[in-house]
Amino acid sequence: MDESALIKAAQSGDVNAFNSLVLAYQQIAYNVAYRVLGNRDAARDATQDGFIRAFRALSQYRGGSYKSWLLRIVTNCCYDQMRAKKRRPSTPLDDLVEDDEHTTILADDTETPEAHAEREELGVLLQRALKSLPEDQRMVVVLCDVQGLSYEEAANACSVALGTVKSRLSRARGKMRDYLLQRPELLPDSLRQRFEAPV
Amino acid sequence: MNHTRVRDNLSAYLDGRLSARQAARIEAHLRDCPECRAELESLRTTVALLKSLPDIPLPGSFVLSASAVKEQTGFRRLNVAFGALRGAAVAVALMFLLFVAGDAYLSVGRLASTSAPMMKQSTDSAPEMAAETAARGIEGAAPQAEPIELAKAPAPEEEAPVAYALEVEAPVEEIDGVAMAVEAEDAEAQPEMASEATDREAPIKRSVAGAPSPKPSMPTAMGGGGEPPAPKAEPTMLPEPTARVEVPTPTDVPRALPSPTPIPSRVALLITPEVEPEPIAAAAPDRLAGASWRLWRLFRIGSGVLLGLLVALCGALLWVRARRRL
Repeated sequence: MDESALIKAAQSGDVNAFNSLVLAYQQIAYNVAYRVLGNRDAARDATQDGFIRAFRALSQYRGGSYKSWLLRIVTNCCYDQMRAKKRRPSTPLDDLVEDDEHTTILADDTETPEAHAEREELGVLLQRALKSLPEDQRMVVVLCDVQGLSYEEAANACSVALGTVKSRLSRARGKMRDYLLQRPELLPDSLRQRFEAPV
Repeated sequence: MNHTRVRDNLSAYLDGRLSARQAARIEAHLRDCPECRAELESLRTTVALLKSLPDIPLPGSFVLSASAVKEQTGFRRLNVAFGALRGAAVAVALMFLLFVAGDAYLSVGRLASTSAPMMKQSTDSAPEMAAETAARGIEGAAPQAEPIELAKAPAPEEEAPVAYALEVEAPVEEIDGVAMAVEAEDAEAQPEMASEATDREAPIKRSVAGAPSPKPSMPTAMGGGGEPPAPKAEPTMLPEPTARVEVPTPTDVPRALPSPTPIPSRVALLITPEVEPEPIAAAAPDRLAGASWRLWRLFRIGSGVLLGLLVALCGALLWVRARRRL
């Protein structure tokens, strides 16, 4: 069953159809939530809330990109989580990026353990760089560069204009680049050379 | 193209989001500017690093359970109810405002319509009412023979008897003439009564309010007999100047003439009797006032009902909103 048929069935009250949509988009929804919030528990809550809200508001879906529509709900849930976190007093532990990004699973059979460790360290560094960005710029760079959404899809998910997406993305990439260049010792050798090599 | 403008557009150029003309300009600049080329490469590497970030392992499945679905189905109904209540509250609020505006408009119109005619009636009829009231007060006491003189302010006490005497003369003469005519008519039927009427010496007297009752030495003139009548202090009713004359007998209980009440000028102005309005002017306002009054009443009652309904809808909205947040 294609996506439009699943959506129609879900709007008619077919829970199984909706759960099929959940299975198709839960990974991207959770990735966005984690990259924006930087915390597994917060990301899980935001993702769960997002799907519950999507089920409630399914009758209001009027066509277009379902991915953009769903991610708009998830980003709103992420903003809610960030506002709730600001209201709660934070401890230094809360500000640390979790190291649970480390996995024991190799990317592929040819990847060496050293490459795997290097990749994980890079992931931690990039996540810290993302965390250093303002919330609105972080959202745009996660949607466009991390998840591969187009400018239009990102504008729809963030409920902003196309030009706003362009400007936020440009500023976010520049800040990310500067953050990484300020910590060259943390970059893998290959990448450090790419940053420093004259063109 | 300067460096700042180029660097601001490098991100869009990297994603192919510039027009052909803009892209050509940047490429031309990049050929001659190594700093901007380095900038572009650093951005390209950053984007590549971000795209290489792996997916985060899921903590579990986010599929909705049956209980969650049931709960959300109820929430959907709350959503529908909330929307319906909100629409109803807006509609009722608009109707309430409309009714309040109509009530206010008709209230102002009623005030204007009721105050103007009343003021007109009071100003136009004041002198008429004074004259009419004075005439009513004295009308019962005096015959129609001298109405003009009776409407005047009462004369001083000293002059009253004299004035009375003068006034009485005319009616006395008239009565005498009528009496003579009656005598002629009734001569055959009641010869005794005719003789008694001629011999009668009942003084004709009437009292004037505010003045002492005239002295019994009046009247002085009686038709026919030259002898002055015996003074008697019994007032009698002056007969009407018609053919038939009711000659009072000495045994008749004299009926005291009601004393005309003086009406001060200031009292006349204060009297506001129920004067019927002018027929033409009054008919139209009455017809319009009736319809507008019913409409005004409808607006007023409707405003109250709508206000109560609005309060109830707002309460329901708050309750549904609280349930949605649970």
